[in-house]
Formats: sequence, structure tokens, C-alpha cells
Amino acid sequence: MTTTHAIAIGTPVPDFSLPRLDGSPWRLSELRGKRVALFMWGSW
Amino acid sequence: MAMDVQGSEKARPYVERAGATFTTLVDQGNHLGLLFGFKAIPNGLLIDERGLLDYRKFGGFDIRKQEYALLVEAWASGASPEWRLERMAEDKVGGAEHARAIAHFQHGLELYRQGRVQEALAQWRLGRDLEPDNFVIRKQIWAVEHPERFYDGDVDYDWQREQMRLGQ
Repeated sequence: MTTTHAIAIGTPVPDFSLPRLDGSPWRLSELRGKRVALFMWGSW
Repeated sequence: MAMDVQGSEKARPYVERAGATFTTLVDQGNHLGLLFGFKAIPNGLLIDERGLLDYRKFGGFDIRKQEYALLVEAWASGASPEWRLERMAEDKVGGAEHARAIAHFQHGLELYRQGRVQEALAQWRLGRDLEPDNFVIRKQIWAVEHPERFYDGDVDYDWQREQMRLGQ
């Protein structure tokens, strides 16, 4: 996961995986078929 | 998605305080920053059923602000093809050539009113080329050149999206 993708509206969002808060695995592509809202924030 | 280098223990209190019922992910290694190339948060991304991007805002996406809350609500209740096209255009609008592009557009409108359609189209194309992301100009060109996509029954949004992709 080192390549920067210029994502544009109407184009595929590159797949990625991250751990949930409880440590269990999560992957974007597993939600295909559903609409997904992602909000990125920080405690800082 | 908590973009916290310090990990879930830093993020957890915020999630609990917010009473969040949605999935919270932790990005401890700035993976998403590398992947998407953003330099600021908070960010919002809306993705459709096919995995295609519907909306993005990198930096300043505060969901507590009404404009973003309403935007997400409109999307969640079923983004129309028109809504998607507007976001697509909005994503790209702006730039130093805006004033010149608009001047060509207005000039073209004047010509069009006089029935000088080809000259009007030439002005609009100049405007579009100066500001390729100007959806107002682009759509006016489409509507005059391809009336069948607009005025024979339903507006053909699939065709419009294809034109956007082709840079027409």
C-alpha cells in the first residue's frame, strides 16, 4: 500500500484493509453491493 | 476511521463518547494518506454499490456542519444521477481561468440568442477549454450539439457521464 492513487469521482476506489477498533480485520471490497460512507478523523 | 498513529487506545474514548454505532477503523500507519494522497483531515468519501467514488472531500469535512450532514443524507437516501453529476462537476470546478471562461460563455449566450449557433458553440468551446471543469458551459454545449440526449424523453445521464470521462 505505497502507491498514491488520484481518485476521481465516478472511478473505482482502490481497495484497502484496516483493523477495526477491536483489532479484527476489515476490507473495503467486502462491502461491494452496499453504499459506503467513510469519514476520516483524528484525535489530534 | 481514526487516523491515529498512536493507535486504538487514543481513538477509543472519542468513539465511546460519540456513542458511535458505525464501524470504526484505525489507521495507525497513515496507509490512507499514502493511498489517497491527502494532506489534511477530516475527510469524507462516499462510495456507491459498485465501488465507484460518488464524493470526496479531503480536509475540512466536518460532519457536524450542516452542509456536510445534508450532503451525506441526500446521498444516503438515494443519490440521483443528477446528484452524482453535480458532485463530479463540483469536484473539479475552480481555477484561475474562470473569469475568462465565463466571458466566453456569456459572449456565446449572446450569439446564441441572435441565432448564430455555430459562433456561439465556438465561444463556449473556448470557455470549456479554458476551464475544462466548468459543468455549466460543458452542459450547454452538449444540449445544443446533442439535443436528442436531453429533450427526447428522459435526460441521458449515462451518456453525460461517458462524455465527462471522455473529456468532451
